[in-house]
Amino acid sequence: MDIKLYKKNKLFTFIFCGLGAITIFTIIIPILKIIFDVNLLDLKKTILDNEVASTILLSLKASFYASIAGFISGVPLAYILARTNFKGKIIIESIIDLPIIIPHAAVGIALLSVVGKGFFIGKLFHKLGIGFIGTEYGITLAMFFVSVPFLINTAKEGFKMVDPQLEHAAILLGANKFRAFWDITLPLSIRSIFSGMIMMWTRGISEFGAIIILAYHPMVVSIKIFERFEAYGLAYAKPIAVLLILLSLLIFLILRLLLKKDKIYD
Amino acid sequence: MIKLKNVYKKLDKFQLDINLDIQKNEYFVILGKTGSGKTILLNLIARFLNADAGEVITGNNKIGMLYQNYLLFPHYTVKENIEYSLKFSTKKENIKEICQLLDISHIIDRYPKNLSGGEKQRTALARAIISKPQIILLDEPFSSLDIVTKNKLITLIKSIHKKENITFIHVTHDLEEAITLANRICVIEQGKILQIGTPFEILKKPISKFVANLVGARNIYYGKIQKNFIQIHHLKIFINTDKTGFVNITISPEDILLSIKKIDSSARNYFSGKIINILLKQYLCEVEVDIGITIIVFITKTSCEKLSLKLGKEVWVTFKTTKVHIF
Repeated sequence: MDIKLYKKNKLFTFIFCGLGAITIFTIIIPILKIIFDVNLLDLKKTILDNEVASTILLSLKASFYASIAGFISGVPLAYILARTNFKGKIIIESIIDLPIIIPHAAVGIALLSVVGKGFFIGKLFHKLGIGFIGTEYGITLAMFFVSVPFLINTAKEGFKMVDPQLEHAAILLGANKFRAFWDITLPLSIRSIFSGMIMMWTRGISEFGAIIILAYHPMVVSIKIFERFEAYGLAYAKPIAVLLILLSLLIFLILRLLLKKDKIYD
Repeated sequence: MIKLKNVYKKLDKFQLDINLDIQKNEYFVILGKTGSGKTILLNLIARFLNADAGEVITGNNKIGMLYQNYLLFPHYTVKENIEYSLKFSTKKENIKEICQLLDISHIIDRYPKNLSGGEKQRTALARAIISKPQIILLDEPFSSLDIVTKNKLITLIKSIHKKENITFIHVTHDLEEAITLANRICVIEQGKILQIGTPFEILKKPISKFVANLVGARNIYYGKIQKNFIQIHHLKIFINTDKTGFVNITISPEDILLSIKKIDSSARNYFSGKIINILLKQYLCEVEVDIGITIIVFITKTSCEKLSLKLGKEVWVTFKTTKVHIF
């Protein structure tokens, strides 16, 4: 255990805790308020509303696919960034963080100009019969773009925690590089990778700005909330919003708990 | 068997420049301080590093390795750790025998985090041996272990070395470990080999002051050779040498005789002096005598009592010219 050399000063503690509390309340009050505003009956009605259920399912599905794509293409990248130093590494890392800082409506417009038929990539996919505008592909693409940094950065930190020499040991015992990664590094960092995927998944579900530009239809739940709010007002938007909040919290909680169980080798 | 031909490696400001020849089934110890380049040398042999120039030749020999931090796979049990190499081999091996030899049969289902340091290193040793290597590299394998556990493991490794046809290359900063285990010791400093020799040669005949200090040599003096003696302050120490000019000499404390009266012997170096310090060590007594220079003599505890040595007592020290090592 660490010995914390921390001298208490009442005024200091008061000011710092007070300022911290502002942040906590800013997050928690709106969430609690909206949850308590909605009565159970309305919530039940919303859950049973097919129109809403289909949007939720679509959100879950599209974001799940985005996370799988992130796992396949992002995890190797995270490994390389964790294990090697090369010229321009900082540029690559900055590129990965870009989706977090640029406005998501701008992301939607940028994606639109790439996958539209006016650009060769859009043309190429069109020839393959894959369109992104107003399709599930488009939704998945938008979700992937805005949420993949969460997976890559978390996985990278996970890989950094695994001693690279363990792979050396495996290689001396006869494994090749792929096998050493698969047998040793991957299982030892799988928790970080899963955490990253959960974050990516939930972040994808909550995406609005990029999706509304690329694919208003088929409708995902975040857009459904917006549509209800626009057409019918706050009272109609609230139950779906609460449902979405509870769902995100639930996913977050369940997967966190699942990952906590397996603690053999800490 | 293992050859390093003009191997050169540069890492930041550090440069390693090595020529080395290690015999089959030899227990070869690389002795050096932290930062001497000994671990880099080992990593070059294991091919985790590539040399900038020169050649590392290990033939088709399979290499196993023991590490200071064991590097057991934390998500595997002891059994799974040991059996890991079998996944890549067509031969079936029975791990029972090795587990009995290394006394780990009772912990085979545990995970590494529930093992003591000694158990971890024995598991790592089993894991290395089961893969049937012809060469085992050991990187400071005992430095995280307590002395009792360490001595047990040293005995174990010695017996394995005797039984199996394995070449051991062992890197350490611990002199005693090196002396106990090595057929030959290689002293390395700043990426260069200073001396290679048997433990006896390294201890008794260090070729430089650095090696002498590293191997804990006592009674190191500097002086000018005149005919058949060397002048150190007012003292004349008789020597056998063809060398001339200024040299270092060292006389092993156990090669010096300590007596109350002058002894009749053929030894040409005898001096009288006063005892200025007596240090009781684990197995012997270290007596410092002022004979014009301070000289250290080792005697057994029993002799120390028999001679009733005390501070300030007048004694004689005697040693042969052949026991004076010049470098």
